[in-house]
Order: sequence, then C-alpha cells, then structure tokens
Amino acid sequence: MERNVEKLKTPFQGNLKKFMTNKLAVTGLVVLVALLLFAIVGPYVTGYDEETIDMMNMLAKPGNGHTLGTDELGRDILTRLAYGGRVSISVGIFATLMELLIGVLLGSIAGLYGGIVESVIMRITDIIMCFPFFVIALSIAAITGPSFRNLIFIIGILGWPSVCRIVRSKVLYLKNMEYVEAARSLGLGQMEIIFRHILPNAMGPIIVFTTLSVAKVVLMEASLSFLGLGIARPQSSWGTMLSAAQNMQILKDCWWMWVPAGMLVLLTVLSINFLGDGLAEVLDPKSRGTGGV
Amino acid sequence: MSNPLVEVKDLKKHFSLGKGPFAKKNGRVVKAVDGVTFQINSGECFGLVGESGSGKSTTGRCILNLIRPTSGKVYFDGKPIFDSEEGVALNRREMLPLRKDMQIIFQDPNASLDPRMTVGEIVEEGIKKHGIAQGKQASELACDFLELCGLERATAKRYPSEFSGGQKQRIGIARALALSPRFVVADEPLSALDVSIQSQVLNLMSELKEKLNLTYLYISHDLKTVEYFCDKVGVLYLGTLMETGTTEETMTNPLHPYTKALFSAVPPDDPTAEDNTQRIKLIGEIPSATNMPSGCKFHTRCPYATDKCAQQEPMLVCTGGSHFVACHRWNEIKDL
Amino acid sequence: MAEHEIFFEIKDLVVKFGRPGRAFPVVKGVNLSLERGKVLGLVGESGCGKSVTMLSSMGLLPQNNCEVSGSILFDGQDLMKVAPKDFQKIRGKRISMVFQEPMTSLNPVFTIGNQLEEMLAQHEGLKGKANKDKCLELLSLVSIPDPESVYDYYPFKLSGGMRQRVMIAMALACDPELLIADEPTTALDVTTQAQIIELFKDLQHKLHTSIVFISHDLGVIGEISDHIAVLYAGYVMEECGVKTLFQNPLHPYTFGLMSSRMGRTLKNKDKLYSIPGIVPSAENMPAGCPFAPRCARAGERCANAVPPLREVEPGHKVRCWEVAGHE
Repeated sequence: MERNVEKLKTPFQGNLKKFMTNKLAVTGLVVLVALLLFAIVGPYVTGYDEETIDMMNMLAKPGNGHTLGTDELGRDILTRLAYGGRVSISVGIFATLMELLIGVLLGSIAGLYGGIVESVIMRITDIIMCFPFFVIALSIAAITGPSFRNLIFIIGILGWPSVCRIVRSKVLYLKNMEYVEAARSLGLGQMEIIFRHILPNAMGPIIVFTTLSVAKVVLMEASLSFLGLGIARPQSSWGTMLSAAQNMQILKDCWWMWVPAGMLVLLTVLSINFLGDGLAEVLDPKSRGTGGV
Repeated sequence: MSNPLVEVKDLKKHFSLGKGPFAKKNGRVVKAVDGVTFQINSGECFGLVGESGSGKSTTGRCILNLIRPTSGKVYFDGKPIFDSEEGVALNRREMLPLRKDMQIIFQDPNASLDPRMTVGEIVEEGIKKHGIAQGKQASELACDFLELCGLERATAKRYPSEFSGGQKQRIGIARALALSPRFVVADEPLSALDVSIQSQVLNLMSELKEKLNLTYLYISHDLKTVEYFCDKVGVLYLGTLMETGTTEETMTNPLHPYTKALFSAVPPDDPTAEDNTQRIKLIGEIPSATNMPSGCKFHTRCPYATDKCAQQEPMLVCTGGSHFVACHRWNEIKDL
Repeated sequence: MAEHEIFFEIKDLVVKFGRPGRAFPVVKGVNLSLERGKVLGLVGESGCGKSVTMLSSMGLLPQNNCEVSGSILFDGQDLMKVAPKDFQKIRGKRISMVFQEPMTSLNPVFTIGNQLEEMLAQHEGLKGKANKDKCLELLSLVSIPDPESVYDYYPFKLSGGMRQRVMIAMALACDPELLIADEPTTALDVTTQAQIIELFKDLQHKLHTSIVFISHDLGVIGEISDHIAVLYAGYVMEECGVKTLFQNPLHPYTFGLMSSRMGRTLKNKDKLYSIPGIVPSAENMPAGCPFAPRCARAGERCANAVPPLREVEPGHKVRCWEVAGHE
C-alpha cells in the first residue's frame, strides 16, 4: 500500500557515507594505514636487520646508506623504527583486546544481572580505578620483569574498568528498551539477548573506546619502556628508542635517534584519536539522520 | 460460560525504592498494582483504562511474566503462571512453551524494533526460537505475516528506520502474531501514532482478532478506542480496579465517580453541540504512588467523598449483571 | 479596542528546511489571521507544519538551516523585518508561548518563584516585594492551590499538570497580547487535560487574550477555538468557524479526520472509517494536492495541480478541486 523507497540502504552504508565526509577522520585512517604498512613491510625494504651492528657507522647522521642514521651501536634507525612500530602497535592492539575482553564481559554481566553481582563488579572497578596507574604498573613490571607479554598483561589488567563502566551504563539503558522486552516476551534467553540485541547496539561506544584505547596504550608502552620497564632490550619499540634521549649527549647532539620515534608516537596517537572522534560522531544515533520515510 | 483464558486474582506488584547494601530497610514502596482481579474469556477483548501511573502497563507485564508479581495469582488457560499461595512462579525456561501463546504489542514503535536488524530478522526471531520453521521457510512465514499486517513482502529486507510510525507498529504486530498466539497484550498500541493512522491500526487489530481468533488485553488511556474495541472494561486508579463490567454497562451507565469524571473529561464529538453534559471537575491530580491515600484511593479527588471513604477501602460490589464497582456511595450517587 | 480588528496576520508564509539547493518546504504559503480577543485553532498531524508556522512567528526557528519568506504582521508591524534584538522585546512580553513538554520547559535548578521573578524583572522591571506579589498573583490566576508554598518549590516537586499551569503563568506574566499554545495538553492525562482546557477558557474569558492554539486533537481544538484552520503537509486545507467545521466539513481530509474519531455514539462494531495510506514525507511530496494519494474523491486534476484555497461560502475556505464551486 505504501510506495517503496527505491534505494536500499543499510545502516552500515549510511554510516560509511557519513564517515567519508569527515575529512579529519579519513586523514587519520589514511595515516594509520600508512604507519601499519611501514611497520609490516618496512624491515624488508630497508635492507638492514633489527640487530645488525654496523661497527663502521656508529651514531651516524642520516644519509650515507642509513636513511635516518644509526644509534650508538650502529643499528639502522629506520629499520628499528619499523620493528619498533610492530611492537608498539601490537602492544596497543593486544592490550586493548584484553581490556575489551574483561571489560565487556564484566560490564554486560553487571548491567544485565544487577543486584549483588553488579555491586561486586562495580566496586572492583572502583578500586582499580583508584590505583595510581604508574605506581602499580612499575611495581608489577619490577616483579615480573620487562617483557612484551608482561606489558600487555599489566596494561590489560589495569585498563579494563573504564570500558566496563561504559558497557554497563549502555546495557542498563538498552535493557529497558522495548525491543529487548520484546525479545524476552518471545522467550529468548539472557545470552541470546546480550549477543543478538544488546551488544550489537552497544557497539558504537565500544568501537570508539577501542580506538582511543589503542592510542592510550601506545603512549603507555612508550612511557613504561622509557622508564626501562616495558620492552626488554635489545628488542626495539618506540618507547625504548625514546629512552635513548635519557642520555644528555644524545638528546643534544643526535636528534635522529629520538625525534623520529617521538614523531611516530605522536602521529599514531593523533591519527587514532581523529579516527575515534570520527567514529564517535558516525555511531552516535542522535547524529544519524532518519533514513527513508 | 466458557472457562476464562486469563485469570488474574488479587494481583499485587510493589516496587521498593532504593536498592543496594546501604538502602534503608522498610524503605518507601511504590504500590504499582495493588490487588487487581479480573478474567478474560477466550475470544474476548478486555480493556484496561487508566491515567498514567495507574498501573495498567505493569498489570499487563505481570500477566506475561515479564515482571514478577509480588503476590496474587495469574492463570493462563487453567495453568498457573504465578500463584503466591501455591508457591508457583514459572522461570524463563518453564515459561518458554507458554510464550508462543501470549504475546505483546508495544506502545512506542520507534523503540520496540531493534534498529540493527532487518524487518525480516525481527519477525523471524520468534519463529526460529520456537522451532515453528527454519531457514527459508521461516523467512517465507515471516513474509506471510507481514503481508497479513498490510505490508509488502519486500519490507522484510529493509531496516525499521525506513518506515513511518504506523508501518513500524504493523511490523511490531507481525512479530507478535508470528508465533500464532492465542492471547495478545496490546499496551497503548495507538498512543504514539498520528490521528489518521490510529484508526488504520485499530481496524487491523480487530480484523486480525476475527481471522486468528485472538483474545486481547487492550491497555489504553483513550476511552473512545476502548469503547469501540473492547467487550469488557476495567477502570484502574492507583493500582486498584474502580469499576469493571461489559463495555455496554460501564460506558452507558458509569457508576464510579472516577469513571464518570474520566468520561466527562473526554472532549465531546461535537464541541459546538448544545447538549454537551456539564463536566465533572476533579480536584487536583492523581496522587503519587509512594504516598497512597488511606481508605478509598480516590477520596482525595472525589466530589462525593465522606469520612467513611477516607477510612475504609471499598470492595468491588456487584451492581447487577457483570458490573462491579468499588465505591461506598455508588447507590446514592448513581442518579446525580 | 476595536471589534473585529485583525491584529495578527500571517501572509504567504513559506518555510524551507535543509541545505540551500536541497531545501524541502515544510510550510507552503500559509495565510492566517486572528482578530483581537479570539482563539484560532491550528489542527493537523505531526509534520503538517503547524508548530513551524507558529515558531516562525516567534522568531524561534533555527537560523542556520531554514529559509523563511512571507510576512507576519503583528499589530501593524512586520515581524519578519524586526531586528533580532528588538524581537526580544516583543517575544515574551507582547507575544508569548506555552510548549508541549512541561517536564523539560522549566529549569530544574531554580525554584518556581525564581524563574517567574526573573522573567518579571527582565520584562517589567519589577523588584522586591512588588515582584513577589505579582508572582503570587499569577500563580493564583492559573488556579494553583497554595501559591505561597509552590513559590518556593523546585519544578520536580510539581506534577505535569501543575508545571503546565506554571508555564501558562509565565506566559501570562507580562500580559501578552498574543498567546501561542503549542499542544499544551498533549503530554497530560485526560482529566488533567480537561482541567487545562477549562483554565484556558477561563483565562480567555477574564483577560481577553488572543490565543493561537495548536493541537492534533480535533476535540480539544473544537472546545476552545472560535476559528479553525486544518493543516496538512504545509498547506491550509480548510479554514472556517468552529461550528461550520464540525457541522459541515467540506474537505475530504477534514471529513476523514472527523469520521475516524471514534465517537461515543458509535455503538455497532462496524469497521472504523480510516484514511488509507500515510502522511507524505517532505522528500516524497506528490506533485498535485498533497492529500490526493489518500483521497477517495481524487481525480486527474488533483494529481497534477495543487488546488487553491477558495472561499466556498462566506467565512469558509477550502483547498480542494472536488468541492462544489470549481468548474
């Protein structure tokens, strides 16, 4: 009886179109993809290995076969940047995944079940959020020793409360929606309701959290490694490379050893943040135009 | 007389305010539903009327066991769903076979459809859950129900946001009917729709009632639609039934002062006609459910209230036929 | 004060929403007029442009995404040409408005007294005791029981009906010449709605304020208005006195609305009359009469050209090709 609207538009297509109009977010995405490519492909292109020591060219200035120069042991900076990018970005991704795993699970349980379960979970998050992050992170790192795995573990275990809170409040809101009630009246179980109706609709804030968290973790990795408690040498990461600047001599005379690493951290964090902002805008239902009729 | 399909007896739902370990014991309690009794026979349409805060939606959800009642009895087709005396309270798994038979249509078509699912997925969900059909057959069945509700089969591939309020409400109805229920709770299905769309949806609902032999609990604040649509009516005020009977009895001869006031508050068909009866003006507004008046709950606003009304709560008494009223003075004031 | 003096008039009002170049007209040439001391009712479904029409007379439309043309004459002055700064002096003082949502129109962190007094201080320059006395007077004018205590209440303490009374008191604070009421009873329960309608009637009687009353409910509109305009998809479809509209509705849309109201006289369980189809959205507007796709009487001409609003009998204007009088 009603006339059809010809074009079939899924929410995803609508969102994509809207995302493309946000220039800053698209720039962020492009830069990020470029950085990832650099980290993945870079080591094969530069012609050096992460740990190859060039005795003839220690602390060499950029140029002369080493595009970005070498460090105090004669290792190629550009190569180490690419390897370091792999480490920094994968720490960002894996630690964020760990935060998500714990946070989303506990957050949805707290929101959906309520009562004593919720109280216990939320008090735990409160307690963790009260810890001064660096004090705890440093003590754990000091006990477990610096390594890639421990770093992910530390950041993951201390970082989940914020996503837990986000998910909980979203679930609290969504579980009172009429369509969730409709699902209950159809006889769907709690798990079916969480996975079919609640989490898909809570995706917006979760995705935004994810992007911002990756940026945050890259920074944390840099900070912890700078303090010598992140990635163990000789493995490189942007943070360990930055820590070279602790030496006054290097800070003053050998800018190529720490400026590029710093720039990359800055670029990564900025581009991820722009991307996150863009996603937040696209995924906010309030800013979404009414589709069709 | 046939056996009632739905039987509600002395149903109570009290919400306590304040939760958590630090909440005061014996804190304030909201008596959303406070002793409601009625029966719905098979094939009947029972209208529950009341203003906001009268507990009509809570009653509907208690019957469907979407909210667990505090006490009382709810029976469906002779089987207990909730009975505080027998200690019966079906859990989700035990309710599952019954879900097929009892469904709900919601008030707000914008909130009752998951925005991330296609219309087809929404309607299919229940069909698959209850194993009525699977795969392609389920989609076909879903399309059949969409067609039955006046939508094209092609709507199944679209998303809810592409439809207008009236169409969304049809989708909601299709979802409820896809399980071939015998009993449907319609919770203010018209109040979010435009005037010219309301009658379309109401017509659809009565058409489906005939076709599928449905029994309805129709919850509304709109007396006009209740009068048109329902066989029996119950008037709720602050969680208590004030008057109940067949639509004919209650509408032509309302006995409770609240029912009378409710009717006179409805704008007349032709406001320019000379014979419009004088409005019964009510004093004040519906009191808050946390601070319930003593005695008859309506006495604070009733123009005929006496001391007795403030002290003693009136029982529902039969005034002839199936007409019941909860008022101490109904006999004295019926001709006023 | 002269009788039958038209002091508020909307002429050829067109409002378009959207980006320039892709703007959709929402109000398409609306003409309305109101005599001093009378009540004009605007009735229509959601999206028919009734609220937008009146918001533009208050100068309250968003500036960035809409174009307005036409003229709005208020007491001889064209409000479209008034500078925003001068408009502030008219708005709230000479023209005021009551909104639909009493729950969100009051600021929750100030007491009722604070909010009323601020308004009076700004527009009337009242101070101290005089201000408070005026507040209390206003609160009792809108039949709020115990104004002395309500004066110190925060909005959350009041029920919906009471808040709406406060909103009306605020609107009346500066003795406006024109009061615009945008669905003031829609969010309320029936018994409260009846009280508010009575209040409006009462106030109109006492103060002779001219009122534009917007509602989607013909019954409510009929009770309070002297003159009614039926809007559909941005056009005035029918305009006449209240008696004429209820006894002799001529436009098929008005007729449909009337018939689909479920009357208390309806005793048989016949199929209810209903207008088929849906209200067209601004993007999918039909070329001719906007009601044509839903109209049982629509002919070829209806699908191609928008009919003009014509006076078919004195004081009764209809926008329809099929109503007698068109050749």
